[in-house]
Amino acid sequence: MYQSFTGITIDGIASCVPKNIVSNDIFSDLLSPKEMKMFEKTVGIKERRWASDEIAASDLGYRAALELFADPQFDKDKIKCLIFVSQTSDYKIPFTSNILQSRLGLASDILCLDINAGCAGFIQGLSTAYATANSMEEGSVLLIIAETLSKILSPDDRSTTMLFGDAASAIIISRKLETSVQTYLNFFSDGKNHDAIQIPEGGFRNKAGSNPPNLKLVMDGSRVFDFTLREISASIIDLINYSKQSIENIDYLFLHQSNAFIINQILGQLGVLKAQGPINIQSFGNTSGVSIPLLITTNKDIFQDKSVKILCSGYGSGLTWGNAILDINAGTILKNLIEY
Amino acid sequence: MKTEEFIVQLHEELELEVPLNEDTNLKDLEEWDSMAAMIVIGFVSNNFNVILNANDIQNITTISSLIDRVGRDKFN
Repeated sequence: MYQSFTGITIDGIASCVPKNIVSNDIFSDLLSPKEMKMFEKTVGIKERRWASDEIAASDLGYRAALELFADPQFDKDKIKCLIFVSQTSDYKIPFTSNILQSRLGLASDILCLDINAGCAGFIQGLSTAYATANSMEEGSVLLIIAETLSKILSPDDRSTTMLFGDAASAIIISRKLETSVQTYLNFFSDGKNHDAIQIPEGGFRNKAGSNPPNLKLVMDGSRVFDFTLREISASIIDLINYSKQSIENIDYLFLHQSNAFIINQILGQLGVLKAQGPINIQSFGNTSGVSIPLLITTNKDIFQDKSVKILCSGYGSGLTWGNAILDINAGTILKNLIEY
Repeated sequence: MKTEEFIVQLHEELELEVPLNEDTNLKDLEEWDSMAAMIVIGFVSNNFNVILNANDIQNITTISSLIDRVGRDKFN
């Protein structure tokens, strides 16, 4: 699916990570020193942030949103839609965006939506936020993406436990009548491989399951690996063609931080310089749908005082992948990373 | 790239302690795991523009079979 929007902009981004830094040292029972060296060389993760037991994903999202509202440019009362993207929401019922509406002190004439989405969650959330902003006479959309994947990892599963980190981002989006800035998105899905990244039990398909139920994340790494190397660069080229631009017009590529090796392979397939694809996976691991806005936050200097055209690409559970070409203009408020 | 250079460079990339030759079975190496597979995929992709997939990795045994999969015509 291809989308284009005119005059919709990102007005601000803030990101929050847990204070608690978890370095690779704690995994010494899972990998030998030589395996650890290879892990750091290929996957590229040296540490990640894991939230303590009492911190939920929405708490990180709440802090990120407060950071935005601390800026005089943003008025809580203007938020008319709140979208919460997460796979680690507060409850099965009710949905978390409605709880955040009250916690954040947002107006009651508001549309609250939860989206259950994974590593492509930023692009999926952006699509929903842009479409909603496009239909609104006035007001803004608050998109919060928040994950605490550390809470669904099995500590002895070496194919997942070292990979993921916790984080959240809050993004404000609105329609600007005075600008003609263009945004382009595209999406792809392969539902037949839905079990490549999965929590097998605990939903209503396999609710009985085993005893105790398997409520931890299971990943078929080689299937996911193959799909990212096969599909992502081709889908990026498709979007660039759809937007009638060329790759030379793109200043930076903000790729989902799943694995440094994969990121570099995709950059190589596209023939762009490594310097055009910022990486922060060494410090935060894979934070699922948060990874792209978190990467924007940790590279906020790129956007100082100028408009920058970026291509964002998210890919993962579903399997689903999607891309966005958008402008971060000089007026966009990008907050420093906060810890909670 | 000559096959000899390919073997020497791959040996360095994989940081192997044992010698490597065309008959070495990659799967028999103590160092062989998913990360070593990643290094092989990256090395082949960067040098030959050939993208190995999981099936290729499953089917490859010896260095010779890896060279066959890359294509012997790509070596000089």
